[in-house]
Amino acid sequence: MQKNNILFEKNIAIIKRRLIPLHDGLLKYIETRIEEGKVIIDESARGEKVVGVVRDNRCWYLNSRYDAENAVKCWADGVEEINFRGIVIMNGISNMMYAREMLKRLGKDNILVLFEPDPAILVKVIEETDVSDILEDDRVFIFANDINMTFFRQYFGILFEYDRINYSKILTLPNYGMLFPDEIGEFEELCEKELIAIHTDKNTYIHLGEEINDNHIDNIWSSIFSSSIDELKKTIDKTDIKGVPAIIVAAGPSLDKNIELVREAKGKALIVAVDSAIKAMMARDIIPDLLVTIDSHKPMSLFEDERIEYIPLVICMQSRVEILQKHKGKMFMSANMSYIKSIYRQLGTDLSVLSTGGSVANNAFSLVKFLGFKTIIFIGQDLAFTDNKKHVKNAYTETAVGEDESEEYIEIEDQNGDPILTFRNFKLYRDWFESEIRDNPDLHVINATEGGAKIHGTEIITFREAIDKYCNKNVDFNKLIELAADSFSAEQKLEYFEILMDMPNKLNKLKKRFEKGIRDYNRFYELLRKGKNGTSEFRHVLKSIEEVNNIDLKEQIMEFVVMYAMEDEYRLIEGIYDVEKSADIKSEGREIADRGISMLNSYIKACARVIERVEYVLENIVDENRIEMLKAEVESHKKEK
Amino acid sequence: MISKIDGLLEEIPRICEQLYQNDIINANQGMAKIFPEINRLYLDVINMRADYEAIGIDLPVEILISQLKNMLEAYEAKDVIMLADCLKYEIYEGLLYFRGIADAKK
Repeated sequence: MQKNNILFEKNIAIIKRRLIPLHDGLLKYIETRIEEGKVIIDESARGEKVVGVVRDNRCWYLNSRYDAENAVKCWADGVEEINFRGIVIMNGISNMMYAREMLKRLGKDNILVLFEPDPAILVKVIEETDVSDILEDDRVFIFANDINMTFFRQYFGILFEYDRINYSKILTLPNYGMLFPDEIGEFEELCEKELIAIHTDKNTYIHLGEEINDNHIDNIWSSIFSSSIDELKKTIDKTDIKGVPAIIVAAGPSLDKNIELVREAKGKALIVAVDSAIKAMMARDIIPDLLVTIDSHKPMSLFEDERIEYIPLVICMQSRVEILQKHKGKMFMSANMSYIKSIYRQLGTDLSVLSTGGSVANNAFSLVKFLGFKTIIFIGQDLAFTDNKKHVKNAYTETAVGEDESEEYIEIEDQNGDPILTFRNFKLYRDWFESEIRDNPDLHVINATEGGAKIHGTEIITFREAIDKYCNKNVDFNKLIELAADSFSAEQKLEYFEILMDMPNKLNKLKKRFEKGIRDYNRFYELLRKGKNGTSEFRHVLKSIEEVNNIDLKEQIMEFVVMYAMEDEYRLIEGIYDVEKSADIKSEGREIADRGISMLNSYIKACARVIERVEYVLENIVDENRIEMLKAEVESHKKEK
Repeated sequence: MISKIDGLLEEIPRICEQLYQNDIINANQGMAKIFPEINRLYLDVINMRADYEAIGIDLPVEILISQLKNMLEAYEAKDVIMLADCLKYEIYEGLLYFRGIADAKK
């Protein structure tokens, strides 16, 4: 069908340029498709190309067979007004006339996400109709089952900025609900989960933002002298780990059942413990190969055993600072903020991100996936209240599952398909694992927890069986991990330290820029009030305001500032685009100026807070002796040259 | 009969709009009301075939039956597009035709 198909060539060339995962998925689907003929392209009475799906001995048309354009206009007339920052998600593409009409009615800042549950429809439309105008449109993103859905979550996080969420709308094209109820249901559930994740992030930042940001700044010192997960990967890559599993030891109550067996797997699998499980492991003298700690407020009681200080630690900038400071063994940094990532890049090295669903076990999963392990075994990954308990013995002093927290509970499916109680956030962690497993078909994930929630997509066996079946090759991970280099050379470490020293200076400049921004906002309102909004001065003030509002795009250190101002920012963003139509230009201008000034005042306060924290680091955390030693090392390198 | 036809001619465009807009709940409510009325009207007219022949009107019975069948198929399958098309471009035209011949019969 594709050979000499001009329409297909034209459409696919645009897709290749704009929507790469869709392009690759489409070509793969076309190569392997088996069912042809169930989707047809017909002509309406007006000669328009319309789509039909043959099912149950009848043809379901997805457009009017008499006057498709008129029906599409009628459909679009029924869509309620969409905010200028809104995102429209359409279930179904039909012949894309609906999308074309919607685009005519949307503004330049809107986004249109098209979801096609049946890949055969998308392929047919691309093969037989000219939809190049829609494919070319920067506002359009297309996802189709069996083609590029594995990329949906990544795009979702980027497209659905927090301020757009309240203005998003899901529309279903006629007949799609009848033909594809399950597929549409699943897609909408996926959207809902992603939205919940965005809200959860927001709540986390509001409740823990200050603490997290304190850690971000305090941990700069540790990051100068750490290794990174990228260096760890380089080392692991030197060994053949094909057929070697990674075992993630989490702290669910079922860990008591099989923790002793971890000893047997040592040297035959990479043993990665999450921080909550370490106390139980140490109580049995079982030392993991890696320990992951991410939470900014992890109880120090978990780290009391001095031997833990020598276990290679996987961290990120928000990890609890006290844990990093007392650690004597190797530390592997991962990225959780772009500013630090940009510093690494500036110094000529990489720092990769470990994606997460909110729990440290999610990070551990991302870590082993990043390191290249294809077989992943879970133990202690209950994610539910097995035998009415929340965690393994020794982890925490905890209250029993009871009425007082019942609002936080939800019922999910256990490993036998029976109902089991869990925390709502545990369900989110499980959902994240399931999405990862679905999106990474090359991974083989074994749930050897022997209790707790069912994680769909995993092989459920006992840990004994998992060890016998998968842990058959010897690899000395202890030795390998010790070989990983630091992220930076002595010269780079000094350069990084200078960046830290220069931060207050940078932040003071930013403060001055925000103060000017406030003056600009006041001038903006004054000019508006006097009716001078057509003057060159007004345009100049507007440009200056635009610059200050986009300063985070130029100054990456703003990430620290924004984190301290997060609560104010969320509050000010709420309803920012609900401009009342009846409001006159002057009161609208006052509202804009007031919001802008509030935000800039909040940034000024946050700048002072970052400066204060950096000064705290320089006075209390930085070890001058270490800096002197670095300087001496750099000097000796120079002499050697 | 004429008032019944006029009532349907008024209702059908509104229901078609709801169907094209995928507003299934409201469209279903409207359809539940007009579906038996259309059915009855079509059958009444077809049954009066001999009366119409007597005044020189040759009813296109096959077309009328096919319109009814299409509407029934779409309604039973819950195919909103076919139903809207059928109502807008077939039944509506059929009703206009009925109105014309009813006037002629008077």
